Amino acid sequence: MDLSRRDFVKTAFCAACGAALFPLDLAWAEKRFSATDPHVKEAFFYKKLADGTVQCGTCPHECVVLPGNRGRCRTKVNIEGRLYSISYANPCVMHVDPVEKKPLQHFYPGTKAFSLAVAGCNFHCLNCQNWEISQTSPDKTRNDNVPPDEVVLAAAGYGCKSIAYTYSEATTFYEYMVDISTRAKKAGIKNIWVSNAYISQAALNRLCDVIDAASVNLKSFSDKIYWDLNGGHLEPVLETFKTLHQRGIWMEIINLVIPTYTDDMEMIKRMCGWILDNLGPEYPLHFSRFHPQYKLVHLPPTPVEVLQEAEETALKEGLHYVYIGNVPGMGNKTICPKCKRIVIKRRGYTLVSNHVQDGKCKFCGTRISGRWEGGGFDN
Amino acid sequence: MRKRRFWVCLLALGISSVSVQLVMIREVMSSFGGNELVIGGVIGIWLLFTGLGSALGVPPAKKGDPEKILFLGHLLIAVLPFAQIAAIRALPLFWVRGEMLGLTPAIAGSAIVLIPYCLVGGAMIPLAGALLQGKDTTSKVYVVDTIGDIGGGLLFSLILVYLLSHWDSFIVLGFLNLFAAFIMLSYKSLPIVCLLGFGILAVRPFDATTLSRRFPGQEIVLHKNTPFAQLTISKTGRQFNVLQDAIPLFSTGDLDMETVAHLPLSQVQEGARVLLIAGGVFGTIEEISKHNPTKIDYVELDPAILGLDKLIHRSLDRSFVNVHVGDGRLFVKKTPMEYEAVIVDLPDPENAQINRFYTKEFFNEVKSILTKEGVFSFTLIGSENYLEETGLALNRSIYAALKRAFKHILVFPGTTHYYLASDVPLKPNIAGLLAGREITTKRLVDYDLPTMTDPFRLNILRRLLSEKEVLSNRDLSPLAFGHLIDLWMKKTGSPKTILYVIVMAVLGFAALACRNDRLRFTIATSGYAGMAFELSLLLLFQVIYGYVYLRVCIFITLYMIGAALGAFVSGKVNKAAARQMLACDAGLILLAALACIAAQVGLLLRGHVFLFVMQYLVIPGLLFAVAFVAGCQFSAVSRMARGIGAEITGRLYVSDLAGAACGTILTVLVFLPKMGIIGVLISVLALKCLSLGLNSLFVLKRT
Repeated sequence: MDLSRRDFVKTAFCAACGAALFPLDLAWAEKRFSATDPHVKEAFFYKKLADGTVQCGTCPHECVVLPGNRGRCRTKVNIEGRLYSISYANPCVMHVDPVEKKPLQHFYPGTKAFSLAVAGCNFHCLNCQNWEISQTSPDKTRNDNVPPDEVVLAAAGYGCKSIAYTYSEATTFYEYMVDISTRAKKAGIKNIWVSNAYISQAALNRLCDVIDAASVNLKSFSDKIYWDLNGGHLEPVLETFKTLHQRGIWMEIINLVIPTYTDDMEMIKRMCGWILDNLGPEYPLHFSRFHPQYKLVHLPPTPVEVLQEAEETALKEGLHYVYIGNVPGMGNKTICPKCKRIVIKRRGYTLVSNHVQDGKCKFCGTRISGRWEGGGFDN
Repeated sequence: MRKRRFWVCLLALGISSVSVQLVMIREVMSSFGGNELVIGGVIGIWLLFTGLGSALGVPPAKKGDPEKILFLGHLLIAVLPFAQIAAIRALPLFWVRGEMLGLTPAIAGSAIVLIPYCLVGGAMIPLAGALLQGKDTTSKVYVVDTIGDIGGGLLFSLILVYLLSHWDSFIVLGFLNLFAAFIMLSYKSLPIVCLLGFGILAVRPFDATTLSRRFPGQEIVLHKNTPFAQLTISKTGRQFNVLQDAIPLFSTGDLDMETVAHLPLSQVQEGARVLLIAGGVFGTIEEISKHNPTKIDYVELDPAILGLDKLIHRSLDRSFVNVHVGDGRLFVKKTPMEYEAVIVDLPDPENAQINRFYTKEFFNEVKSILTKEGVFSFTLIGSENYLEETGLALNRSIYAALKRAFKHILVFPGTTHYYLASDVPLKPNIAGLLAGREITTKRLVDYDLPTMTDPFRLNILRRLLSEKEVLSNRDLSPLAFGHLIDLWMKKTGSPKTILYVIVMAVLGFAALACRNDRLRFTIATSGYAGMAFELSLLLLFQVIYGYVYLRVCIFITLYMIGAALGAFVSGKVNKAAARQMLACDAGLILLAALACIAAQVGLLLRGHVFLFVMQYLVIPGLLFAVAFVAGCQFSAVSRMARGIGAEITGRLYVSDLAGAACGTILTVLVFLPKMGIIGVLISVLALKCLSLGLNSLFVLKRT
């Protein structure tokens, strides 16, 4: 092709202009906020730095946010040198779920949890099952306007024992969660924090004043896997577990067993050892079956026998309550650690029988860890 | 001697190019979990850089003694595919294991791997032209190259894909090119040729090694090529996994089929006649059997899937199951039967082919084979908690289409949305209905139904689907397919900018290829028209008739024969090239208009005679005519162009391939998903009108 330099430059310039025009719409697509906008509330934890820059203190990412910019979670915005949350009173999801779906097996079983979420997350898990709301920001979802008081009223209206901050990452709508929890506590409604446990110690300590239970993910026991699959680090997560334990918050630990990543029995053994040493044997550990979804689609589901092996390993290590999740027909029994009899039997999310009375096994009187009321029935 | 070398070179090159392109598209799909966007991108890159290679081949072709360079070219063409396949399989090692990547890495990765082959292949075309003398060289190159393409298409699609692995197919092609290299330089090249031949055989064990990287932590039990995909059975512990293009399709212990079967079957009486389109061997038939059906007609496109039944449930041994290998849509059109339940268990409309099962026209066809109280069901991508905008738009376009065909619709929320449609009211109390028949399930009743029938979620979904009037998903306007592409882009975090960059790059290249030259512009527009016509007419055939693998292969071959014959006939007539060129422009305009009419009429008419006329006369006739006219125009323009043979060949190939790259990318990425088949044909009409206008103006000025 006999192309002169002039022709080439001319054509390249036209192509570059054309190409440059298109990304502009992306730049314009990012919404600008002001402190007086609805659903904007000043963040509880942040530090002012020089030149209007701020550093978020809600989670261990400790994002340094320039004026007009956002943190990693997409929900904290620097507006004129102050850090604001844009996820206040604007939930995109509200449902009523069985508490077993959180999953919590030892926290008032058989009750309902009013569950809500505001868009956003401080992780980017490749296998996220709620990526539609976690990997976006509240200004890009369809939201309702629900102030904290109305959430508490709605939960009570639906006869829910608890309110669960779930589906996305609750830490990213921290201010809203704390305000709802404070009001719910006064109204006698329990609060459940469903989380990846990636939160700063300061924020966690304040949260522990108002929550009653936590369903927390321990996604792996390897820092590298945490970084590759989730975009976080292991150490801050472990610190969260220790604090929850020290503050007496009921927690259940979720571990997703992903083939070739977190299905290594040696790693599972080390993880169980850590739990035993630092938290004791009483908190339930859930091994969940992985299904290919979102971006992690080139791996097959976890074989059931791997989950069973993990369960055996955890029990051998000395944990008292180990469950298998996402496998119908499995993990639906709570067994008394002493007499080994079934104290709670479930079918799906429904209780079939509950032999925990006053927090103790009906058969041998051993204390069954958890938070209980009622009990003593057999369907 | 030179004439023989010319034939051998171009035939070997044509056969290899098409076969390697087909294999590499399949490999890219497996490595990147790609879709039509990725396929369009790969074909676009292929055409673009082959065109660029043609341009680069002109200067050495002018210098003479092309045999030596062609010899080297054939050696490279023989060995490069092995490096390509190994590289494509190794690429996933550079990112997080198991991750599906977006458009940018898929296109960038493919480009890095494919460009060397394309450049070498492209450069060999004008070099082969330099083996001959005379004004009609370009026309001859076009004819022989096209014959090679025909050979390559038929060889891979009808023989290699059934008999050999991708790697082994490359061994066959490698030896073909080594033979061609030998012909270029005769006996003095024999040691090198033999050495490379041994080398090709020696690296064969790398096939298994490179393949295993794609299935980490799994033992490969079976890996098989089918005309539609690469099918793999792997084992993890005691669990068997079936993977299609390296994406898990089914694993032992999966229970989705409970929902697929019981939702529709609970709506009709026991003893129903059921039509099941796809998915049967993975347990759906077993679940349907719990409702004591009198008959299950099970239609599956890929016979290799049926072969898996022996390893899983042995459902096909049941006496009431009738298996039909073929296209589900075609079966629905042709069956004289009536059914109480029709279940479509296909993937989401991720390409125009599958989109045919989610259109208003298909829903009407299903309705015509349902009994008065019959029920129709299918699944679609959903979300248990929040359906984001693109997924919602996809669901809405299909819901709108379904609403126009059926009176009652029930959509169950969840990670997958389950659609039921009927002309009689539907019953949402599935658990009660199943209990009434004493049917037990492992997951559906206890785990899924509480969420699927949760009033919160049901009401929200119902409101979302019906609160806004949207355009229906149609056969000729596959909106759902477009939405799914947008969803994939969003999910994989692919910036739309990459699409713009690709389109701009291709258009820029096309502009460069035909810069200030009316003749090259004419050829580029014909290249565009050819690809756009081919893609839209093949889709039209599938919409009107159905997908038949052999028929589609024959149509593509027919298209290439048309092109070769057009160029040959034009060369033979060898008169009034300018008038021929104008007539071809007008011919393509006329054919685009005729194709528009055929598309509209084709969807309205019914009956076997009409189907016969469309499948045997109208669509193949149009395909052949378009190719014939385009080939004719290429030959006519080559006779009008100034310069020596190899130079003309190089320039016109660049223009033709640049136009074809534009045709592929714009059709696949823009016009088809957003404007439908008619949009594609109108773009051809507009472009060829422009070409005709320019050419007429020039001819008028001269006279």
